[in-house]
Amino acid sequence: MSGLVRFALGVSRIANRSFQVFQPQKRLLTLTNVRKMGDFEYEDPKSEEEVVNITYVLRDGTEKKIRGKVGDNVMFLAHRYDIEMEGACEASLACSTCHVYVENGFIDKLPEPLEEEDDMLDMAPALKDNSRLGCQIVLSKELDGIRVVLPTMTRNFYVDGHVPKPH
Amino acid sequence: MLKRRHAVYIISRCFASRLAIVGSGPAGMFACNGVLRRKQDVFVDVFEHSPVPFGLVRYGVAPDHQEVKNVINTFDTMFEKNRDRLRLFCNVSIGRDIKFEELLDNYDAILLAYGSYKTRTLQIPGSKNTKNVISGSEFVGWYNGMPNISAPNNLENVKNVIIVGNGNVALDCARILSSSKSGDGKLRISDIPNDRLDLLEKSGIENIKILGRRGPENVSFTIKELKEQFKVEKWSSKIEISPEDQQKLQNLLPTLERKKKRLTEVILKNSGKSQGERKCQFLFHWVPKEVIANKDGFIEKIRVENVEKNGQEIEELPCDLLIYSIGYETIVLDGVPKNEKKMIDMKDHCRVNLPNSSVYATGWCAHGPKGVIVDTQQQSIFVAEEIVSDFENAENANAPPKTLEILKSRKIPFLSWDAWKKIDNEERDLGKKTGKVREKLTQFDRPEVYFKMESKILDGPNVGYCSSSEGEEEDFKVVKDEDEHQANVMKKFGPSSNTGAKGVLSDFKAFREQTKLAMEQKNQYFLEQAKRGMMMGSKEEREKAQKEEDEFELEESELDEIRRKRMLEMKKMAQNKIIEIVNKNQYSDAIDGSNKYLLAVLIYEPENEECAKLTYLCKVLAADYGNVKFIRATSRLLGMSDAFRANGVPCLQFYKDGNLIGNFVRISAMLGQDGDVAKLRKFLRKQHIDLINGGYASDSDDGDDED
Repeated sequence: MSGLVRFALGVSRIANRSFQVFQPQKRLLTLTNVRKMGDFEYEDPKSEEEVVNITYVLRDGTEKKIRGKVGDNVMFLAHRYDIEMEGACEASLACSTCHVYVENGFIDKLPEPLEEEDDMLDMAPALKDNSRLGCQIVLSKELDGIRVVLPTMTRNFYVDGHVPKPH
Repeated sequence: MLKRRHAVYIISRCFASRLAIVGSGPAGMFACNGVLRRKQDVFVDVFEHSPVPFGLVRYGVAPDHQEVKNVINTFDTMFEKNRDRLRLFCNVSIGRDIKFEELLDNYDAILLAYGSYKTRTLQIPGSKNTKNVISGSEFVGWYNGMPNISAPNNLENVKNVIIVGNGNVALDCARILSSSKSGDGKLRISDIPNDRLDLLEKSGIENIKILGRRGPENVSFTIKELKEQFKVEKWSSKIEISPEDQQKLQNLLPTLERKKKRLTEVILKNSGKSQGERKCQFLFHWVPKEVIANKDGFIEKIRVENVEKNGQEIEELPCDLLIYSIGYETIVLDGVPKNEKKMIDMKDHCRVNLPNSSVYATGWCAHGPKGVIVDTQQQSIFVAEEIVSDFENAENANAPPKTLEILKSRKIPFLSWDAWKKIDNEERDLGKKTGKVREKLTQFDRPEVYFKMESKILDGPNVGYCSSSEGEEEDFKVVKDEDEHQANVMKKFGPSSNTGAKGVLSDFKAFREQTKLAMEQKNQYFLEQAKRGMMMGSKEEREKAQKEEDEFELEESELDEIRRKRMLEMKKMAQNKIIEIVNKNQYSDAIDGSNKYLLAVLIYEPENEECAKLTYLCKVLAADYGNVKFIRATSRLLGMSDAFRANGVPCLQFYKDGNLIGNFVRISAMLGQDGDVAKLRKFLRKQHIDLINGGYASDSDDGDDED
C-alpha cells in the first residue's frame, strides 16, 4: 500500500516536474510583443458557448476552418494557425497589411470602422466595399460562421516600372 | 547528439536551394519571410550595406510613427526561428565588397530589394554649392540617426524653412520640424537620437512653407500623415489655396474615388490662411527657380515662379533651410541590365531580364519609390511565391555558398544577426535610461562589442547560422590581428580621430588611468591634510580635514560592502556546484538530459586568466540557481580548433531540450574588464536565458536584478 502511495506520489512529482519543464516551451515562442499581444488567441475556447467558427480563404483559394472563440482578434487568431495574414504594425492602426474582405453579409454585423481604420483602408490595394482590417475584427457570437478572404495579388498589379512624377 | 544534428544540417544544405537577398528593408524581409515559410529546404543570405538592418523601417519611417516600426518584431521572429537557414551580413555592399557576378556564382537565385536610395538632386541655379540646401532623404536620414549625415548648419538661426515636394517625405520633414517646436514632448519618447532632437528643439523655426508645383488635386500625401500636420500643437497649419482651386476641388469631389475623395475632404476642411507665431503653409503652383545665397554661402532666399501665370508671377521667399523632396533615382548594380528609363530592366513583374539566371527584383528598386508598406509587402509575397515555384521546377544547388570565405579573405568587417541583436539590446537599454523606445547608435565603431566579436565567431561553415561552436573547419581563418581588423572597420567609416575604434579604446584606457591617478592623488591629499591638521593646523583646518576624512570613510564603508559581497560570493563558490567533464560522452549525455534542466556549459582553456575568472562567476551562479546544471570542459577535450582555443574561450553555452539556445563565444569580452556576477546575470537575462526557471525567457525588459 505504502509502496503504491509512494509510486503515485512519484508519478505526480514527475508529472509536476515535466509540467514545469514544458512550461518554458511555450515561452520559447514568445519572443516578441506580437505573441504577447496575441496570447489570448492562443487559448482554446473553454466551452461550446464560447466557440465562434470562422473560415479564412487563403490567397490560393483554399479554405481554412478555425474554431475561434468570443473575443478573438481575427489577425492574431490567423497568426496562431499560421495563416499568412501579415500584421506589420501589430494592430495599432498604422498599416493595412491585414486587409481582408468580409463575406456572406457579415460586413453589416461588424461595428463601423474607426476613422483611423478608414484612413488605413484607403491605402489598401484592391479595396472593396466589404474591406476591413483583420486586426479590427473581434469575434462575437453574432459572427459565428464569418468568412474572411485574403486579397489575392494579380500579375498585372505592378507590371511596369513606375516613373516618379515630378512636382 | 550535436554531431547528428550537424550531419543532417550539412547534408540538407547540399540539396537545398540557396537564395541571396540584396537589401534588408521591408521589401527584402517580407519576401524573405514569404520564401522561408513556403519552402523548408532553402537557405537565405541577406546582404545589407548599412551596419544595421531594416532599411527604411529604421532610417525612413518617422520617429513619431513607432507603430509602423513594430514590423521589426515580425522580422525578429523570422530571424530567430530560422537561425539554421537564414544569415544576415550587414555592412556588406554588393558591387563593392562582393561583386554581383560572385553572387550569381554562389547562389541559385538572387533577389534584388535594395530600394532606390539615390536622391534626385535639385538642378536650379545656386542650388549646388549653397549651404542648407539639402534633400529630403538627407534630412530624414539625419533625424533618424543615419551614420555619416551631418546636421543642417546653424539650426538655431533658421527661421524660415521651405520644403519643395508634395509627397509624404515632405510631410514627414514638416511634421518633425514643427512638432519638435510644439512642446508636446512626443518626440522625447520616440527613437529620435537625443542629440538631433536637442538641435531641433533649439532651432528658431517659425515658418514652414511646403511648395507644390501642381495643384492640390495632385498631391501624393497619404491621409493619415496629412491629418497629423494639422494636429501639431502651437502651429497654425493651413492649405493656402486660391478660391478658384477651392471651387475646383468642390466640383471634383463627387467624381472622385474613395481614397482621393477622403483626402480631398481633408484638404478642403483645412484650407484657409495660417495665422499666429508659428505657421505651416501649403502653397501650390510654385516652382523654385533660383537659390540666392548670402556672402557666407548660406541660403538666404529662393526665387519661385508661379506656373499658372506663365512666368508672369515671380516671388522671392526668405529661406534659411531648403529641403527638396522631388523623388529618388534607382541605382542599378553593375552586371544588372538597365532599361531606357535607367531602371532595372525587368522581364516581367518580378524577374530581371538576364538570360540563364534567376534574378528577381522587388520593392522600390524594381518599380520606383511608390506606395506604402502594404504595397511593398503584397508585392514581396507575390515575388516569394514566384521564387519558390521556380525553385521547385529547377535543379538547384551544389556547393554551399563561399560567401564567408570571400568576406573573410577581403577582410570585410561584416555584422551578423547576433551582432545586430547586441546593438539592438544596447540601444533599447540606452533608451530606457531616458524613457525612450530606444536611443539609436549613430556611430558603429564600438570595436569591443561588435566588430571584434564578429572576427571571433569561430564556428566555420555555419557562421551566422545557428551558433554551434564545433569548430569543425580547421582551415577557417579569422582576422587574428585586431588592429588590422579595426583598421578595416575604420576605413569603411571614414576618417575621424577620436570617435574611431581605436579612439574609443584609447580614450577608455586613458580614462581608467586618469581615474586611478586621481584616486591615488586624492588619498595622498587626505593623508597629508590629516597629518597637517593634527600636527600644526588651525582648528578650522583640522575640522575641514576631519570632514574630508569622514567623506573618505564613507567611501571606505562602500568598500566594506563590496568586500562583504565578495565574501558571500566566495562562500557560494566554495560549494563548487560546477561539474568538470572528462570525456565527450558526459558532454553529450548532459545535453541529452537538458529536458530536465537548463544546461550551462563553460568551455575553457587551462591557465587562462579570463577563463579562471568566468569559472569563478559560474560557480557563484551555480550556487544560486538550482534549476541550472553547470558543467565545464576544456576546449581541447571538445576538439575545438586552434583558432577557437586562442580566441574563443571562455565560451558559455546554454542547452535546453537538447537545443542550443545560447552560445556566447569569448563571453569575457562581452562582459568587459570589470565583469562581475551581477553583470553576467544581467547579460544572460538580456539574452533571454532564464536562470531562475531554467529555460528561455520571453522578455528581457524587467527592472534591475534582485540581489
